[in-house]
Amino acid sequence: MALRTEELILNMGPQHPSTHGVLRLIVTLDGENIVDAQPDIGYLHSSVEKMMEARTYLQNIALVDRGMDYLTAMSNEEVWVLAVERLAKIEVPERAKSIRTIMLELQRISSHLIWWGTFGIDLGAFTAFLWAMRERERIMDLFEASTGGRLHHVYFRIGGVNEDLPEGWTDRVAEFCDYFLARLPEYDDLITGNPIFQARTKGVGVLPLSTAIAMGASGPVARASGLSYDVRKAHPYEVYDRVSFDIPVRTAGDCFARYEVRMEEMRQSVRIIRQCLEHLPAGEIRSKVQVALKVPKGEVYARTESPRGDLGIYLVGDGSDKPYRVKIRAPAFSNLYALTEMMKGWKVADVIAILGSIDIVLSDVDR
Amino acid sequence: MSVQPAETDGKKGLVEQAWQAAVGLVVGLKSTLRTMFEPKATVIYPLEKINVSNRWHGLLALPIDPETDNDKCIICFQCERVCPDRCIHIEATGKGKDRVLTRFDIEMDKCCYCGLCVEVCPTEAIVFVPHYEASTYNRANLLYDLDDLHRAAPKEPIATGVVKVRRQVGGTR
Amino acid sequence: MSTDPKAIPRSTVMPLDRALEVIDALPGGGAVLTKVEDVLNWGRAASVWPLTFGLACCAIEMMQFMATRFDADRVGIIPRGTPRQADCIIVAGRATIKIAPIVRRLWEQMPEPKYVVSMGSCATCGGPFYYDNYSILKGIDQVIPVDVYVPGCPPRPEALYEGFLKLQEKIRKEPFLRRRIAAAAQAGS
Ligand code: SF4
Ligand code: SF4
Ligand code: SF4
Repeated sequence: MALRTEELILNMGPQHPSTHGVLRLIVTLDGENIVDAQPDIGYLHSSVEKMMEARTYLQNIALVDRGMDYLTAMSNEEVWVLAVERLAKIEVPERAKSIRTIMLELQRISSHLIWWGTFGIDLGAFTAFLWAMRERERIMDLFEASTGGRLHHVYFRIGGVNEDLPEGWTDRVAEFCDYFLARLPEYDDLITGNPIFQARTKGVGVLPLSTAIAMGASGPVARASGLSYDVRKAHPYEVYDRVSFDIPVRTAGDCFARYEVRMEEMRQSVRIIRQCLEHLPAGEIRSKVQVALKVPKGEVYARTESPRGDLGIYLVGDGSDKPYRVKIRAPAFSNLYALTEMMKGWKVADVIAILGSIDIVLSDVDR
Repeated sequence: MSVQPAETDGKKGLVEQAWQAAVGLVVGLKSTLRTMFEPKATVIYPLEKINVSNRWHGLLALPIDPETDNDKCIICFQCERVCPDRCIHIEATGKGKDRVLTRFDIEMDKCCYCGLCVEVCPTEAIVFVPHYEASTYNRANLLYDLDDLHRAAPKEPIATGVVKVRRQVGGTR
Repeated sequence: MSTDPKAIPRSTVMPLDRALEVIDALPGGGAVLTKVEDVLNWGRAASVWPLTFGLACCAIEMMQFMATRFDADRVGIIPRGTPRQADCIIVAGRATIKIAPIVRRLWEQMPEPKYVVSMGSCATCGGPFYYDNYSILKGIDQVIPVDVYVPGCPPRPEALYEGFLKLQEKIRKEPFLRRRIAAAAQAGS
């Protein structure tokens, strides 16, 4: 005869060391087992979409950096300028395209490094955090030298980039690529090959392919479940159609697969950066665009592959210098949808591992 | 509902697991040990400082032009118009050539250091300075008026790399 | 205060309300008190334990501040996960109206004496989210008292460091013991 037990509701957050920001999880427990996990979002809602309607197209570049996913400021700028350029039919010089690609991939590495470090902390490896931050500081130095900002750059402009690369910057990037590739095996020694880490992540938090698609998951979360889809390949932008790189795909769909996909993505990013550096064309970096650009009437949807997945912007222009309506399709929001499915049936001790493995940024979820 | 991982049962599994964990620990420790003998990554901040790159978006300033003994601002209001945070406030009196600035305030607490004002300024009157230390006990100190902005401009050229400085507590204000 | 008539009033056990007068009247008493205070303050200033409470982008720079290159641990700034163990809260990032009561509650949970560092434009006054916005709090000082404001968006880790130096300066100058005795006297009488 089964013992009659009561379900317990556990509130995690919003202030919790491992919720990666201000997320509140309402976990329903039956003993140790998770029956249900509902995220309570909105603690970082900054009403960016509304604010964008009151700012000009140029000013919005400064806003999307901060209001959207703050770990990947470049990706936000990219998707915004891409949408405006497509609607206003503005050509971008070749050199600017290459520079943008380098920046985007550097940003991808830095974002994945933050995830790697904090995932390490979640699973009890503090060294990982310190190492990831050490490498990230180097990327920050590169960003600072070229864009002037560490976290928020305001570097991309409609029709190009703000300033040309400083002297010797490309050599520094190449140097960093070598340095970083030499570091990655050490990461594998420290975390990937560690049996304790594997025991905590392998087979945990499985997201089947069909559920991943149904929930609209994208990026590394979907690719770890076996969905071979990457916007960089499917709808190429900038110079992604001219560089060769692989999309890492795993079929296990567990935390370890998501981990592996991201680690491999960092290697592929280095590969892309190297190709771009090799074929960096000379010439203009910015085509002539007025400060108060007037965008014609119409609507456009631009999508890019941010480190967290399929990031899109739906933009409606009304012929003035301010957008009429902007809708942001945030990858972390859809990935958080899938969290409930991943968590059901696991133990309460796995919550942190699963939450860490989907790599959400609350600013992207709430906007 | 997803499948739970199979429970490892029996003695052999346990011993093997313990052995694997020990090996993993040694491999990890070897990496950390190697890092111990690498050059240090830490900058001892108040004693050493990293000089920021010359594009760094630090505080804003209106440097004094030694030729005219005044700033280069031609009161075109471009920076005020482009600022996404609306934190520049300019007022002027007079007409034509005799126009003088009566107010040039930047709310440094509201500014997001985006650099659009520096970009649009036609005379390079408003610039970023490589200073970032401006923390204060009182928020009102973060409203920089014309005098503050004149004073904030750097006197020396910008160096790069890590420099040693005398121990100092507190910033410019 | 207890209203039980049998309870001994606290002031008869330790006449705290007169303690400060007595100490100051003693030859050298005030100087000794100040010296003791200095030692205590020196200790307090060298071990400001902040609560790790990242709200938005500034939290990333706060992480850098505590990580490899700037290594806050070496000056006794050791991040704590719970407000009960923290001396200081770094409000790193924009606070929404939804999170504001939680920030307030965390601050109330911290033991006295407690300090608040407002990091970045958003925490200071709303920053880039000041205009045309319906959800962001226009400055964290509307809910909790702020000791040090660090401008920047985000402030460099060094800038946050400088904010902490300012905070340490403030702690060192505080008449900590005197205030404690006065507070205890007020509670006792
Ligand atoms: S840097 Fe940006 S936010 Fe600051 S004053 Fe200039 S335009 Fe305004
Ligand atoms: S843009 Fe330059 S010249 Fe024009 S008002 Fe601003 S500071 Fe003065
Ligand atoms: S001050 Fe800037 S970096 Fe900090 S939270 Fe606000 S927008 Fe983000």
